[in-house]
Amino acid sequence: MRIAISLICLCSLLAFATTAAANEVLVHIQTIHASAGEPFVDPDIESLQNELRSGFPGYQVFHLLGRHELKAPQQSQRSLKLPDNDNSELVITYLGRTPDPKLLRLEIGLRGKLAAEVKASPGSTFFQAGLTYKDGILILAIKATLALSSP
Amino acid sequence: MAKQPSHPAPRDPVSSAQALEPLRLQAYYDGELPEDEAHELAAHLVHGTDDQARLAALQEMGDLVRFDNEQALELLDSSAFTARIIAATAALPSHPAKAATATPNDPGTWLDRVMQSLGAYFAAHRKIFIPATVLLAMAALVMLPMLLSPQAPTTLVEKERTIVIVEPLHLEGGASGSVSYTPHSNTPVIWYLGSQSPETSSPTLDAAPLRIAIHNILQRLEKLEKNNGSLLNDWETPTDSQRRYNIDIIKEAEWFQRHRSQGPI
Repeated sequence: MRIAISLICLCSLLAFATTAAANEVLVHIQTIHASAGEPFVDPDIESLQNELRSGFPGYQVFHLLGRHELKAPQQSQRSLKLPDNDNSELVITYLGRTPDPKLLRLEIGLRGKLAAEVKASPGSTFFQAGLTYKDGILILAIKATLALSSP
Repeated sequence: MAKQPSHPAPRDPVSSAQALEPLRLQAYYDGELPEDEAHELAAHLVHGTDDQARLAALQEMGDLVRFDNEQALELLDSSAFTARIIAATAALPSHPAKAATATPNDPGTWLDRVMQSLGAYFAAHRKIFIPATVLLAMAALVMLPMLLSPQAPTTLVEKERTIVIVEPLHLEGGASGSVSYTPHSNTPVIWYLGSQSPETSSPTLDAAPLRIAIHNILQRLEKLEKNNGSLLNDWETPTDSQRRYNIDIIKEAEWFQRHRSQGPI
């Protein structure tokens, strides 16, 4: 009987952990400084160079400033202080998943400035750009994936 | 069991006056004498009435002992013993004569033995198997809904086809913004294009992002011209994201038109 109770508890815990893992996302954010000058793309963001060069034609120099990860449970807001000239704040809320196709619903915003709902397949990258930083702008490369384990 | 020779007795070489030794008679009764000697004794018994009577007495005693054993066996509970014997027999290699006739599909031999063996095994270990079966059933009850649920992904599959849809922007505090897409991969870019300061009526616009917005508009207008006025000519059917793409271009153009008259960029 003790074994049976232990097994039931273990299974319940596993079910809870799986459900919890499905209800949160891991948001990967790369902050990039874009400026004019001799063409250069930081080797750390080489995988993004095609998008950066074609999507931001006014800039030729792209430096990676930092990488951040935010674990966002459903309906919980997470924020990140940005190094731009206005000290803006990136705000991310995971809203859940769409039924079909399975897309992650995220609200991405700059506090007090703008916000937009983004529906993205797990692992897809999109950008937020336009905040002024030094002699150029700040580009945020954002990618969301399903979190694989509960905290 | 008495094994009396059934063949006809030969001529009597044993004197009828001489009584048979008890051990020899017992050996004859048990069928343990060599064949020649057994023939001799059989011929002697035809004439020796005393020896016939002793042999008959031996048979009677044998019947009594057998009857007594059978009575004792009926009173004995031998179900577990029988099951073990059956199981042990099944584990033994088949008799050559049986093996020649038995086939894997013969339900009377091979399958029966397997079933009997399994039955005996489970009966012998039922104290373990019954709780184990209950546990397995409970585990299945808990795990099945999780396995069947479409909402329980435990692994991440990076899709080759990436989809990103950006809904219309909500602007706050006089901010300006737009959504554009990179030309090759159609990766969306959510643009913040500056804010209108509360003290002044004229917007504070950042020139650099505006240049990119203008560049994107011009690039798409060129595309529009190449496609004889239709932005959809290079797609077979417009999808929601493509419609949004076109709406974004129009919004960018309108936004640029609206702010162009408010001062130099």
